[in-house]
Amino acid sequence: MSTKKITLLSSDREQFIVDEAVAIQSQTIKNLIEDTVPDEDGIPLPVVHSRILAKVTEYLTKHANYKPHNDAAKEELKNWDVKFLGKLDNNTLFDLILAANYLDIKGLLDLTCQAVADLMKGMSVEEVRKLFNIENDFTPEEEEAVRKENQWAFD
Amino acid sequence: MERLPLEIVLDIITRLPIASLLRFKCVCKAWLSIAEDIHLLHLYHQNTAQNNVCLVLQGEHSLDCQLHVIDPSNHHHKTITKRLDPPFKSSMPNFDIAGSCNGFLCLFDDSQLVPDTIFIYNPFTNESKQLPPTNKNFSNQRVVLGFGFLCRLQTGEFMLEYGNQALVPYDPRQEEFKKLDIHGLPNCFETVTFKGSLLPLQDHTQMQI
Repeated sequence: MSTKKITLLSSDREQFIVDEAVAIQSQTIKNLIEDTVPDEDGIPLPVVHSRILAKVTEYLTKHANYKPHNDAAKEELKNWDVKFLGKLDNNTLFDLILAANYLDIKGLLDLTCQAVADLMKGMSVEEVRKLFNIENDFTPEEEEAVRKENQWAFD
Repeated sequence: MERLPLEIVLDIITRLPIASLLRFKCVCKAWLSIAEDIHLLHLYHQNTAQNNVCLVLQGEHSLDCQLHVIDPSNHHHKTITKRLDPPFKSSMPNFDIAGSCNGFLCLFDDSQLVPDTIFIYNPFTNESKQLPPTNKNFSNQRVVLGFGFLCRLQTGEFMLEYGNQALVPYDPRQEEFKKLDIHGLPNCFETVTFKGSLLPLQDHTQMQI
């Protein structure tokens, strides 16, 4: 049985050729296939860099070919997800969240958001600001007041 | 690093254990308002409630009721119990827990000196609210035995059960108790709390399967 191939085009115009079944796990790509006439080079995804699209297709390929039917298979897939996340640095993880959000891939968005939450659990406030690139807009007095109110969470 | 859109930030922080969520209130003003947003409660229960369990324990010394909290999700430090300092401590030194639901505790005066003193308490924000008197005479049984939310969480209505005899819904917007007529409710019943809803059961002597 031959399967239809889809060519995805990253923002830096690198081509990724995947099975249609793999690609349409992304709701956005599914809609693009249905609604648009493809570019002759492939389906353009102008906000996803090849570095990230490689990760996305790696995830999608695994999950398309692997529909777990029993507990052991589910466990195997879960372990694969953990390994997949383990190879990512924080920048890539955040980029992957943005890509999963844009491409509308619920499973990947869920996985990556949970990974960031797990990362944050043991972090200090300062480390979280750095991670999210957030500037502290409290005055020292205001921050102290919020801190005091929630004292038990800091001990 | 690129900034994440607000709905993603929300998705992420509603997956945090409650202690982390409170700690990160002082990340910035936007996060503080997210953490204090009522809508967060709904998301939080969808995402987190099942995975991040937090225990509140009641300790009793002879003259001193205490509440302690254990957050077992905190993997990075060893699990420690922390003592809570509820704001109603001075007005109600002897209390008992009627029930817990959606992260809230319902506590009542156990000393019987001031009957009908009931507080709803959020142990994580340390906020509490005293309920008005029910203005009803529940004969000799004044003790609250049950506490659960009505199905409509948005309205925040909840229900108290009095001494196996009455179910009383409370509407926090009107700040008053309402009448509840359940057809066929027996004179004496027991309740169970299931997924946050308080359900009356017929007395076990009459229970039919």
